[in-house]
Amino acid sequence: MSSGIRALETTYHFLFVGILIILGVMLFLCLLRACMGPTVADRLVSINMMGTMVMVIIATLAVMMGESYLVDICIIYAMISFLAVIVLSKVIMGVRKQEETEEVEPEKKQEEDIFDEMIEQESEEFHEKILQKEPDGEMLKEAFDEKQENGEREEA
Amino acid sequence: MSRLKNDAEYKKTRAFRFFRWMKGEEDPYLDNVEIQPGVPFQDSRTVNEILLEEQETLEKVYNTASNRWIWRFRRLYNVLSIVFSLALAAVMLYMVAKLPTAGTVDRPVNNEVSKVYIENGIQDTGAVNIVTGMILNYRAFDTFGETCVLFIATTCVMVLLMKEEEKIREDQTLNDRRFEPKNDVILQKVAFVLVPIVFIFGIYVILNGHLSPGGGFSGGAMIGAGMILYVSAYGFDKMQKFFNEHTYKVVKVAALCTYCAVITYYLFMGANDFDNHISLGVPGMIFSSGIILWLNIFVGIEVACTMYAFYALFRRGGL
Amino acid sequence: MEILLWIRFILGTLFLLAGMMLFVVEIISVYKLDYVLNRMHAAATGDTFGIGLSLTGLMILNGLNLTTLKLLLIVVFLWCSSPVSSHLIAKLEVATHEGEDRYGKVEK
Repeated sequence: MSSGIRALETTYHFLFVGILIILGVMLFLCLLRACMGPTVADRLVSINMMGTMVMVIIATLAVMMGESYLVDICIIYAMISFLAVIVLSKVIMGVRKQEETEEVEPEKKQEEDIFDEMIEQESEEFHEKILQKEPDGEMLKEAFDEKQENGEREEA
Repeated sequence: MSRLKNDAEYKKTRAFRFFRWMKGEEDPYLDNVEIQPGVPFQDSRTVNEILLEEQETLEKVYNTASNRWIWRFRRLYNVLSIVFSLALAAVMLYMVAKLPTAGTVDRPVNNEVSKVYIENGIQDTGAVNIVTGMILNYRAFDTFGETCVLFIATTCVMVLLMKEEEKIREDQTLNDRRFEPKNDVILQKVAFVLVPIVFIFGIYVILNGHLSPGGGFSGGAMIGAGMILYVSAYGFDKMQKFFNEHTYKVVKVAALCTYCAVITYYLFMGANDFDNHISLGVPGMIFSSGIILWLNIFVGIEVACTMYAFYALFRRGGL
Repeated sequence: MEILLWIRFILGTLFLLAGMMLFVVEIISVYKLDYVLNRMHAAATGDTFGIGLSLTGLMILNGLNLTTLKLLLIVVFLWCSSPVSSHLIAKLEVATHEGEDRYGKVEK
């Protein structure tokens, strides 16, 4: 009876040590992937995988040593790694979008300048129209109507 | 205003200057301590030209096609760096293998100090977790210093990075959520479920600090992580409904001051060798171990505020 | 009695080794596949199914107590959180267009 239980304990020990070694090797491979990964998303994926494997390692150690407090650490690790991936991806996305908008903005400014110039030219024409002929009530009304129509067309 | 001296004489006294400084009317160090404005950069070339010139010279120097020595040095440097790191790793692994195994009797850590703590820990502090008993009862003043360090660190970051609330609202480019995908529905739904669980687990870790591993520092870190998760899901506007700058100031300063008052009272009135009239309770119950439970709560509040404040200040420039 | 213990050991070991197998498959496919959005597929398999199997094995090996409940909490937490992090990483990849030159455009 007791010899059988002792054999069981040794097999338990070998099983856990073997699993820890396999996980350690795979953790190293994950780290290599994170170093090699060409894009940022690659690195984040492999770091997420590393977090999962570290969780399995901690849980295995908790069962192997019979210490339940290690499982608490495992839960905390899960939360923090989840948070790390979320915050990192959001920050990188924000930075990238900021760069894109900064690249686009000068062109926009040029468009706005052209628009302003057009409006100024139109207003000069409007003044000329009024100045050339005598200021009649009907003339002014016509010019106003023209201006309003132009504005509406542009808005549409 | 003094009754004994007239105005001109009174203005020369130290008392007048002290009260003026207290009221904040005039800073006595205004022109003495601050950095003088530097001399403007004088060069006929522009900055871009200088940078270009520098780049050209660097390219000439490090041109591996013409300069073979640089190429050889680079190869040698790579090989040597790899050899050095491998040798360092080998030395460290060898030393680790030579260390005495954990938990043996002849280990140099096993001296009379740890024996005293283990034997008298529960009687003196009432905490089942001896580590918490040590850091919050025997060395509570040391932990007070650590909490002060956290407080001072956040204060310095606030001095450097904080902007006024109106300025943040005016300058929309500094609003971080302008450049992010707003209102990610999947993240919001998951945060709605997970944030309460994270908070409850953190409170559990803090309140069980004297019974199981954990305590104020790890529990506070978890609550801070929950707050950061909430912010990244819902944004700062919703966060400010229940945690704004005013709440932060009140909570943090109150926690630090109460910690100081409790530990001072304990050290002067009821520390180990004096008559201890703070009851330790039954070891193993929630309400036991005297001041440790309360100190854990204050440390947890401090750490949670610090975590969240760092994130918010670096992200947004305000709480 | 001893036979029951051995049966428990074998059952737990089977689950644990299946989880390890999934992790190995995850690593191989992460190295073999080309594009991030394909790699994420394999990584998510290990994140949910692999850790579920291996923690189930550990639960069986541990027996029934508070530790088992906490292990179950980890599995539930990961099943909630892992899809969200995958979703955000995919969104990051689509937003930054880093792999667009090599792997073609991603349809939004």
